[in-house]
Amino acid sequence: MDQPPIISRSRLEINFLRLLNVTQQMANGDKPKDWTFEKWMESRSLVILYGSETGTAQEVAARIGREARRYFFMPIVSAMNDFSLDNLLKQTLVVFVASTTGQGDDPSNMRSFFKMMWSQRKNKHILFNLHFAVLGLGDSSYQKFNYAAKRLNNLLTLLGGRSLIKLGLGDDQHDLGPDFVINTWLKELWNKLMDLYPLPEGCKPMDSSVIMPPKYKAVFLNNIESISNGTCVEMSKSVSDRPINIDNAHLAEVTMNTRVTADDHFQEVRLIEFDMTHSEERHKPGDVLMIQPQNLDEHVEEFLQVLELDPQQVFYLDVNDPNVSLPSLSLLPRPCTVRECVKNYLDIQAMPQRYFFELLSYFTKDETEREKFLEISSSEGQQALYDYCNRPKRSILEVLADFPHTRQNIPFEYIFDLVPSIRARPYSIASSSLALPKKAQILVAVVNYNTVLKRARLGLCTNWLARQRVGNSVPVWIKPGTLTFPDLSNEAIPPVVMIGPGTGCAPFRSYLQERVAAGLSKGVVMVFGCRSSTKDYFFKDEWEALVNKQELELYCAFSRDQEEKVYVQHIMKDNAPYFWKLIGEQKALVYFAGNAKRVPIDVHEALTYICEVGRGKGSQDAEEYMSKNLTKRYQTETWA
Amino acid sequence: MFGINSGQNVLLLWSNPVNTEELQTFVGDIKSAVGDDGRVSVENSEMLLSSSHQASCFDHVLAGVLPPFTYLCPVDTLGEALRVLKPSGRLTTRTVDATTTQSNLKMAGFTSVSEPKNANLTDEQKKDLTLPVNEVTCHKPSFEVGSSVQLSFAKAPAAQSSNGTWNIDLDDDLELENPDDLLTEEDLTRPDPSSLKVCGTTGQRKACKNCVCGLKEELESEDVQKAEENRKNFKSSCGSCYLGDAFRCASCPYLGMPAFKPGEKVKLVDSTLQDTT
Repeated sequence: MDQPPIISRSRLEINFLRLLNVTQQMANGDKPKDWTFEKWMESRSLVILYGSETGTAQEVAARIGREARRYFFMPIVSAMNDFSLDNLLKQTLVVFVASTTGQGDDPSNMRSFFKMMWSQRKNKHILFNLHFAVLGLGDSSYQKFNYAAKRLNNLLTLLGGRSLIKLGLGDDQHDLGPDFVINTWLKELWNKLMDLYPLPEGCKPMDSSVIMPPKYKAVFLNNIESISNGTCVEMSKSVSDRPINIDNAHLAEVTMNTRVTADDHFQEVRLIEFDMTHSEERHKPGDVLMIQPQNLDEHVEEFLQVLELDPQQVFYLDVNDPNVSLPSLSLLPRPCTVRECVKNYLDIQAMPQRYFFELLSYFTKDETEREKFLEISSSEGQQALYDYCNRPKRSILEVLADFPHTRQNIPFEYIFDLVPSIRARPYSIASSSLALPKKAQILVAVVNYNTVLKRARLGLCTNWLARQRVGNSVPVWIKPGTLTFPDLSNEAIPPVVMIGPGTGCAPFRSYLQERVAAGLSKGVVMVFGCRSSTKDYFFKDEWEALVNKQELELYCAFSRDQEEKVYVQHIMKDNAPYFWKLIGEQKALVYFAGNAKRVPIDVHEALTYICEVGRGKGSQDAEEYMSKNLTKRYQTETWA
Repeated sequence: MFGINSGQNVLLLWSNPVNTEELQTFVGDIKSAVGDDGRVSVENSEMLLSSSHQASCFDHVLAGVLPPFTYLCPVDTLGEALRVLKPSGRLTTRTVDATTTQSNLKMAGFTSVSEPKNANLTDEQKKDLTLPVNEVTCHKPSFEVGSSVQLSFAKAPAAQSSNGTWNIDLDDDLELENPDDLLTEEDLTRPDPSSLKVCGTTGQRKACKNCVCGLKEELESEDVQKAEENRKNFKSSCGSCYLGDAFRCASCPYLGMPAFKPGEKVKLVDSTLQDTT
């Protein structure tokens, strides 16, 4: 392969440095000195708006911003809600990244933006000046796949905007995850943009041999006394009314952590209780407890060794890329030690993506390793990426350990580009704050399975939680879930039918406890399923006691207690006339919580069958009844 | 034959009992009819439902066109044939029971179901037949659920002044009450699960760069017996095992283990193979 002539490569680098210089100056609020370059860049501003619930879409938006610079676009990245209509109408080029959350809903930082655009829907030319493109992030195991992005895309067209390229539909269900669609979609986008906004003569997009500067700059402190810039922030012990996220977290002490499945049962499920004295609000049934986990100690040690990092080194981060914000102080205090950063912030157990390997290719001096990185990150190397990472669920830590000539050459700052941050996990609260004040219990199924790798795959949060001893403190915060239960103050509550196999019963136990504590337990019907009445029937004693006192109607399916498999849907079908009485005649509210994939479909089918039996007018009629009548009263919460 | 043109994509459904020689000759004939640009897929009728072909990809389906013509395709198989046919695609079948076949085709959703025609059988094929055989053709409707349709509300921008802010357009030809009304038929569909797979995931058989164990040659010649032999007499001297899974070949006994540290003595935990490091 010919080496590019030395002259043009250095010209590219000069341009890149100019760009970086201008960007940095702007970030510092200085007026850039070079007016022509600046004016030209202004004409090439690319606004990237995101709607992100857990931060994924936000990261993708930041990535698009970084790539945009290679094509000499000036990126401005912002949440949709933070961008006014006036501002939008001034734009000629906007890229949207929208996740879908909950039950086909818009993420919270996009809702008011969408409402505002929706209110303009009679004005079919308001966006006539706008070229746009939409990238959606979703999961096709849900019926309402990428609905947020689809609605947005169509609305923008309705309002007169011109779409640059077809809507991209990132899918968690793809073997290679959403990255598969994102990579192709971005290629198309840059091609189209180079057509519409070509570069001047002699100027080409920045070569991929030029590495992008890292998101953050690290400032190392050699002397603890010389801390003048950052302040050590302690995790706050109280909650104020700020947005519901990690910044709102408080420490909750573990008051109980017991295994609730039989010791000889293959799955370890634990009931964990937290002291919620520091939470100002009382949680409601259906609410979710967000837990911010940390890495297991042995993984932290391994990472420090593999990268030969000094665990005691103190540092803090500054922003390099003005479109990226600093990590939350609750997660990464300023300053902190390297060990704290690895333990609390870096998700070293995450699976690496394509970009990870592309970045590594810059850091290695070993030709074999470099070739491998380029192979895996190429568009032809998707099979290799899948075989090496996705299928065996290999972690970043394991990959780094496999490349001895690279891992010790990684500049510290780039670690934050290679390794994502640890995300909080939601758990349905399984106890009622009325029945058990100042406490919250959750039901946790510990994730532990094997792939071809010799080391077992351990779920980060579940295993970390399993190890927490009574007395330890865990960062948590309460968030509303997707299930809404009827208000207890309402006199005439219809019967409530709750179908919760396995750990799906968690929110229902919370609601049941609340009803019992309020003395209103009549009319609650629970359908539970598990494998064996002796091995994983979590709340057996509690519920059977209630049944004896006639405070609960309970139906249980123990799938492996007899030769043929009995599941919740079988129990429901076997009692179809009774369930019809509740659902059809008494207009019961129906709930389902549990694992996604097969079970929600089976339950839906059982409900349809019940309607057919009850109405006696055939399956077509039953389906119509389901979609017209029951959907309004049927809520589901499913998780992968 | 059967109105098959060059460049078409044809699906041939057969069922037991069948004369394999006859089937092969027949497949050959269709292959010549479609030429190099076309494609012929052969499938057992009973396996069609579980094969999950892509939707709308075949121009023509031939069902039960070989003796003894007694198999009656059930409605769900015909429904699947309908799904994999392109809109306006054609299905041809030969049967001794034309009435039931016609009715099954209609129930499955086919249109233009023809009257039974005389099937032009060869004398060979007519041998051993006791009942008359008829040929029935039909089509898949030309519209499709989920196909792309120009958004009816996408209008060309009018030549207006640049501050088009508060102009209320009074000709409201589209009733939009709810944001979900924005969704088209195509938007309501989900991707085909087979499109979410990385191709060829079944084969995890890759040789490493400096293969000396014979896996490379064996993969090239696809010799199953040789593979078994090699696996039994495994002796690593290719030098790639210590590098880590990214560099190991498919027959490496160290697959699943991390890269070795220099000077490390590695034990193969559960294997009967020779440990050569």
